[in-house]
Amino acid sequence: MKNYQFNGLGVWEMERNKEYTPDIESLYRTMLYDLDLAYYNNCHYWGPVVPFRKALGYMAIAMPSLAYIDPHRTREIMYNLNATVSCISHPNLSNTLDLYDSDTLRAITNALAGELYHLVSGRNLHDALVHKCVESLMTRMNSNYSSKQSLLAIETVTGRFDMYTNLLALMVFELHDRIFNTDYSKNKAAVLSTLNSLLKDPGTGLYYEAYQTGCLGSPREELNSKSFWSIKNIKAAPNALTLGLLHYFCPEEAENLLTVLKKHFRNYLLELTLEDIQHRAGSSFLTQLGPHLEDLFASLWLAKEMKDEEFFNELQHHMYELCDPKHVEAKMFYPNLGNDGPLVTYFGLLAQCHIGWKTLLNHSWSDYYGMDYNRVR
Amino acid sequence: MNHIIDFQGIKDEVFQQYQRKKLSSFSEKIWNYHRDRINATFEGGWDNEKFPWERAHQGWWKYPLAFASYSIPSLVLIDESKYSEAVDCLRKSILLFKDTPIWDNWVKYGHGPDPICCRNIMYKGHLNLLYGLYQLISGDTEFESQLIQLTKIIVDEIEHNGKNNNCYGIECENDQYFPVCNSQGVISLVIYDLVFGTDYYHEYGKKVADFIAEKVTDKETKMIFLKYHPSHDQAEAYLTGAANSWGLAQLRFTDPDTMQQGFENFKKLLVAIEEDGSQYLKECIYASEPAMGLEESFGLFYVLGLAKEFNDPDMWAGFMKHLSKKFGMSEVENRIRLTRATNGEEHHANSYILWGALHVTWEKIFDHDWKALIKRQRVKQQ
Repeated sequence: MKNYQFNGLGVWEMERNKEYTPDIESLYRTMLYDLDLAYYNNCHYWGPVVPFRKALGYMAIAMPSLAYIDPHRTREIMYNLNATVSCISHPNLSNTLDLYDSDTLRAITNALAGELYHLVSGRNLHDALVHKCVESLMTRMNSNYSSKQSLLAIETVTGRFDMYTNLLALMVFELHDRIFNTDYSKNKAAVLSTLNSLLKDPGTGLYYEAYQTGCLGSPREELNSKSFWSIKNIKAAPNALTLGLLHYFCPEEAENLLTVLKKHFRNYLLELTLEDIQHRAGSSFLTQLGPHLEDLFASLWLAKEMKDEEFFNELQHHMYELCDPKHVEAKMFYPNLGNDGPLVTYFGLLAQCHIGWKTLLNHSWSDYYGMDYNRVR
Repeated sequence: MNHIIDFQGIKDEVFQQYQRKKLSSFSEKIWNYHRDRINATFEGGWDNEKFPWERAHQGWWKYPLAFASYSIPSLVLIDESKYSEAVDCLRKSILLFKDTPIWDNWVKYGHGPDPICCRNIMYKGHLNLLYGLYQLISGDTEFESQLIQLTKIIVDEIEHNGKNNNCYGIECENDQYFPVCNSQGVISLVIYDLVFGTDYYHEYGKKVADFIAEKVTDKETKMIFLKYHPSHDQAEAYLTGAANSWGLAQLRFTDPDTMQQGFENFKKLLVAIEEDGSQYLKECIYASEPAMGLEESFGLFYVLGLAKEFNDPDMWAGFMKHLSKKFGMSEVENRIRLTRATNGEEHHANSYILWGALHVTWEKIFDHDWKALIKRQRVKQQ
């Protein structure tokens, strides 16, 4: 017998009711518990470190939505974002990215979490970190442009450019400009144009997986433009993640592409089996969820961003069918997924509670700074 | 093997031990278990053959070891004939508590160079209390210099945090202030005062309790929140079974009337009663499922001492029935054993079952004339 049956109704009523669904409440409690453990272990995570750090990044993105849904938790979310920034930038977690030569990923996640903390709290505790990271991203982008690569974009890891990473960087710039009245976003259109010229499939309008430069990362390396190539796979996850962010910058284009994405991937997503998604954590690049689960959750997040109720409910229902989550002591676990469960928790929370980037950025956060609990739980 | 499920039948005997100055048969057998496992551990190590501890639970060992030891003053108050074995057991427990596996995680994780230097009240609160109880009960000064040194570290840190760190009390890790762990430090200062005639409770301990009441307690229910973060002057507004069963039990003496309100609300909001009379703990208000006794839900066990502190025999009997159904509580070779539990679960659960069976309230422990008791015992031993 299944542990749980998804009832999609609550998710779409949360913003009006100002209350989490029981699932969101449980996923949130699970996340709080992991944050507590991260402090207890001083960020010596007990499992694979890179996925956990990624999970913290998704946790940070989920937090403002959680505060928006229930403003009486704004004070609590403020602290949780502070804890997330502290953990995500802690050397015990952050240094593992050295192995992957992922300075840009480190800067994006640190900056994004720090900016969201400032946005929700109005406090400047992590501003220095944010400024440093944003400046490093801008420097990197300019350096790529002025080098023989001539690319106004940043790489995810050395030699590889992704839409998703660059859109996240643009979101980091956008947030910085809004909070600190700077103009890091001034080249936004040029960046998007560069990426579209390299990564957009002219046939479908969807995006290729990545663009490779052949650069191995040696300082002052002479690049050979003949070795550049696009990885022309068109996959669900990179597109879903891309469209979710593109929706903020180019809403109409993203909404049109959602139809194309559903046409290409809806059946595939709804036919995924438990065997497809089990025990794959760490084997996918963007989210570490594993390729198929990454496709499923990225699409779920996209559906929430786009407020596509039907698509969201279909995916969520299928996800529950496969993962069969279980409530234990007011937390939510995915016994079917074994060690992959925690990542699913964070991504599931983000996908379900996400209120949309536009709402998140345009919200009048200062009206709610420090708003404390109205009832105990 | 005799499976025990009728706790309604023995609750009066268990709750009247102090007045009757007689251990109940059940308490005698759970004490036998504890005394024998401490002896076995002291002699054969944590992996001893008879009562091996579960290495996977190592991070938690300090809690069962400490709480089981808190039953020792009560044991002596109930039955003075157990004095020698009780004092011997407490001394061995302290030496075990100072052993590396009890504290090394905190150091290994890089929180500090040693377990008592700073923060880590989750360890040093218990250690200070154990030192103090030993000297109070035995009059022996074996740990006196360590008790004085650790108490100084604790009061200095309380004072420093009060002035500089937004809180009265001590964090466990950076920015993580837990009222329950601080409650141990508070009790340890009362015991220190009893040993040395100081007034540290009013100078420091009461301020910690008042801080918890002011900042880390729900104003309406008087129940204790899970934790507090000094950096943001923010308490997490969650009422958990674990924080309240432990916190209300250990802090009741600081403000009995208010804590009584917290206790009544605790029962209303977090305790469920099944048809057969057994009771279980919900880990939080909106959860309907029983706490499993995992990770942070040890409230399932702390509640036994809570029932004693608040003199609630029905609650004690209800929870004992739940635990007996869960773990198969049985009498084996004149000891209480949990026949359906793993070694780790048994060490854990039996420690609190012992505390719940013996605890006579902190007030009775504080008010007792320990010097006279020590004198009687010394005369007896001559």
